[in-house]
Amino acid sequence: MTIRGVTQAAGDLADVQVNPYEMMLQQLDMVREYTGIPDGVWKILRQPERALEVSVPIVRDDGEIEVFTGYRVQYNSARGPCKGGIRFHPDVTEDEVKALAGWMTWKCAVVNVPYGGGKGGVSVDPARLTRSELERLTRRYTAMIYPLIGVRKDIPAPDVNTNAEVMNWIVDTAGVLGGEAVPGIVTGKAIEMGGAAGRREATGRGVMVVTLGVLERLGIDVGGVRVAVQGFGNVGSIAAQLLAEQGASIVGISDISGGYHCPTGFDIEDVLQYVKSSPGHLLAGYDARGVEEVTNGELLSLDVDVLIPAALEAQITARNAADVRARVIVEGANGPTTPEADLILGENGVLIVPDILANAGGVVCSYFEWVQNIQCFPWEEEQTNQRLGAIMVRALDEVWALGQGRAVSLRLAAFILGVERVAAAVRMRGVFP
Amino acid sequence: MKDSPSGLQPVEVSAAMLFDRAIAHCARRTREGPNAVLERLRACDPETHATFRYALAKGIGEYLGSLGAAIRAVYVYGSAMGEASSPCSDIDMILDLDHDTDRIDRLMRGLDIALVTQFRALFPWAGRIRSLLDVRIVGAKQGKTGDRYCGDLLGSRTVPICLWRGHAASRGPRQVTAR
Repeated sequence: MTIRGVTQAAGDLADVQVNPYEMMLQQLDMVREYTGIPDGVWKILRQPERALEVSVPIVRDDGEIEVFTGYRVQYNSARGPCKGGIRFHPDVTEDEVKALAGWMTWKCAVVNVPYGGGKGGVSVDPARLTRSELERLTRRYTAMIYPLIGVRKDIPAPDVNTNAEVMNWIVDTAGVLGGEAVPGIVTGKAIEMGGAAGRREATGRGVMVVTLGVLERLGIDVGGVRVAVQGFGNVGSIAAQLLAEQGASIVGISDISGGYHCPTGFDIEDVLQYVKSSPGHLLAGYDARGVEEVTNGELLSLDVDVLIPAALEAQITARNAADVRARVIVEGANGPTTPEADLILGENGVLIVPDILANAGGVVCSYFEWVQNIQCFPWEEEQTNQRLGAIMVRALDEVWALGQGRAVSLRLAAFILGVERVAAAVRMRGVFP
Repeated sequence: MKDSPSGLQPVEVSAAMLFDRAIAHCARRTREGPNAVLERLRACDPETHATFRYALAKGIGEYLGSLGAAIRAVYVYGSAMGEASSPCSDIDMILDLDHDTDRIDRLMRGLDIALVTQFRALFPWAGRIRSLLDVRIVGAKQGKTGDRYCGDLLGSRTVPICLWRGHAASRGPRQVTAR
């Protein structure tokens, strides 16, 4: 038996997962060393306000009953009603939901929208369900967490494996249960159901805004700046399109079907047209003058000024971090950089705009959707874009200033800013009774 | 986690691999098989735990060195160096940094979480252990003034042992000297 065999036999170590909630608490503890938050407030920040576990029975299409487990966690509501998505995934656990609810608390505070943090999820593989089963699951889950959610209590949104259609079902179910129309009980709905114009583009737009802001601070003119974008979905393609409109040269793009390099810069409108009509809406097969195929790894190491990882998590690792030649990384995706890579990139002088700031355009636009629902007064897309830009610019200003003032990375500065804002609200509210 | 924010990303290094290497080290020392070492650890044998912790620290030092950034040297001291190590003892380490950075802190906290998770999975009695690493990070400022740096070394009950040292550190002015 090998040594590895010994430990595996001893406890199935290959299956051991790091507890995300403990990871979040460790992250929080690290921030504390940079703040003067009192002990009592800290005790409150280290605990979620509410964590609800629910059983979600549904009748399958074949008549069998199956029971799933769901969660809704409200981490902290000191700054406003809780905000956070609902995910359907077999790996969902209470600790994961608690960690992500905490992270939403800090994220909303970083961009200074009047929300606390929440998160929900059902431990289910939605690919195993038919559409009607998924609808029944969503509606029953909504009924089970209904006592917690509400326009001024807790506002869910789409997350992993949930979308506008799932949100529409939640709105309808909550409306039936409460006997009144409540479009503002979730965000990320279809436009016809009260969704916000510009929501699909919001995260990519936010990425563009912070990229321009960072370039300005570094004294780099956006005209001719070379950009590589990993991931050509809602976030990456929109960021590429908007940056190109600002004069940047998009020289690298990729998605799950492959990557492409064009040293003279892609015609992004042409690429978007191609993707729109291609099977699966993928880049595969794209061809134009001066375009060459590259692997995803090669894309990350292109000679560019800005790299925007907007695809999956853990794309820049200890293995490839030293190959990154970009001066700036703007994290369009959640968690594209591992801690080891973060260390190496920092040593190499690469500036990282962290996900908690860079991809916050989505939650900001969710806030706008909620405001419009409450006021029953939809905005024009132009208003949404303008206000989104203003909020993202302000958030970058504040994170940047804090990072400079305390001589810490932008990632840590963003966390410090978010946590301090929540702590201030907790302290001002005091403790009931 | 799917789509985890970067602040919640676990560290890349495999805690299982570090544990396997540490157990292999113990097995070489005691000339026993890994299963026997595992049984001793499970039976809370203090000497085996001390050896195990030292080997674990050594693996961590090599891992940090392999990242090739910021770290000048890695030291271990305290109970992991003596026979008095209890099964619940943490590993006292000092990281000597070339210059101040907040990134190392984040990395070490993530590594600690990964190790504790692994430790709990391996030893059911370890459920209450919250941390396996007690890491003192010594930046350039402390190195110059000597405040925290010397305080850590002189205040420890055992002589710090250098587990890993980069080329820059071996040329630099600061050296750890045993008392």
